[in-house]
Amino acid sequence: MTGRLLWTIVGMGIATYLTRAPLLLFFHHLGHHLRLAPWMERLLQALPLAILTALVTPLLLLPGGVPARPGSPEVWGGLVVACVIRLSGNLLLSVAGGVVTVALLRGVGW
Amino acid sequence: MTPGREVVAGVREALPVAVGVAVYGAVWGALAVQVGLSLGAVVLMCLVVSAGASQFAAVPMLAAESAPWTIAATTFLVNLRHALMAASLAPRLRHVPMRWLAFLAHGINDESFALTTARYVGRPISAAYFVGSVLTMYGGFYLGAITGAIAGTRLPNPYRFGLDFTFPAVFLALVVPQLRDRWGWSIAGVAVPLALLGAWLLPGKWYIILAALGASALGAAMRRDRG
Repeated sequence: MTGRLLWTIVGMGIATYLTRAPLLLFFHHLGHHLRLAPWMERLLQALPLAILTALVTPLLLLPGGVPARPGSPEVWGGLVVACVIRLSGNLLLSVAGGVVTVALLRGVGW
Repeated sequence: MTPGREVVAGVREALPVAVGVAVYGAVWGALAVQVGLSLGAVVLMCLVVSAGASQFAAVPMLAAESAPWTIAATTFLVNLRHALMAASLAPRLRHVPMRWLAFLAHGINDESFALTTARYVGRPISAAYFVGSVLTMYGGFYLGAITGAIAGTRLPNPYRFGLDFTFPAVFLALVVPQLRDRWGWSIAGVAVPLALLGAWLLPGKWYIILAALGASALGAAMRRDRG
């Protein structure tokens, strides 16, 4: 391994840790010493659902950066996931249902 | 639940997702050796960075022999979404000592964040559950990357088996049960168009930051109106 590659990997590691640790430790520290402002508490409460929705939206509706066709395998897969999780509440079942739907529709060239 | 049982629950619920993560890791491992990384470098980068999207972004930059600091800066921008996740985890890990959080921080990833926050909606998070989830995701990614680095392009195309759909499927399955009231629907209803707009107009993963901040600001404002 060249020194340049080693430096790249170390640099990437530091950069990534700097995205993960500071706010976790900062808000943890702050929470122990003074109350977070109420608006901040409410913002942090709403964040997980907002992040999850932001993660999934382009994966479903802009796969590969192109708008999904209505009726594409991915859109059908998404509908199956949503229905199965609503009816069963079972994560594994709904994910498996979605993946199998997408694989089958792609397999028959839908 | 005892911490031991929480770890087991974290592992069990992460396993199906880790299959998708392993496939993603294998694709990355195969690409990484193609641009000249040795198996040792693949393993080292996985251990030290453990952030798939930025590792993918680094591959063409390594091929172009970009400067280490340029690749590190790109890594920072690609992974900046983790800062939002870290901020939202912090108040709910208040019971965990600071020195443990310094280790837990390295484990923040999209999939474990999604599973953990969806399991502990609006209540303190079990650090043990999170650790179980992270070990499973990272284990899957490392094993996948090693397999990909060894097998290279001989692996079958995972697209054929719909395995790339694991990620949207998991995230969607975790979002839908949280759409219970006007608050949940409003947050998601604002996050969707913002994410699309951001994915269309902004580079990299900035759409996550734009949509997450915009939608959670609305969510915070709604709770204030209600008193």
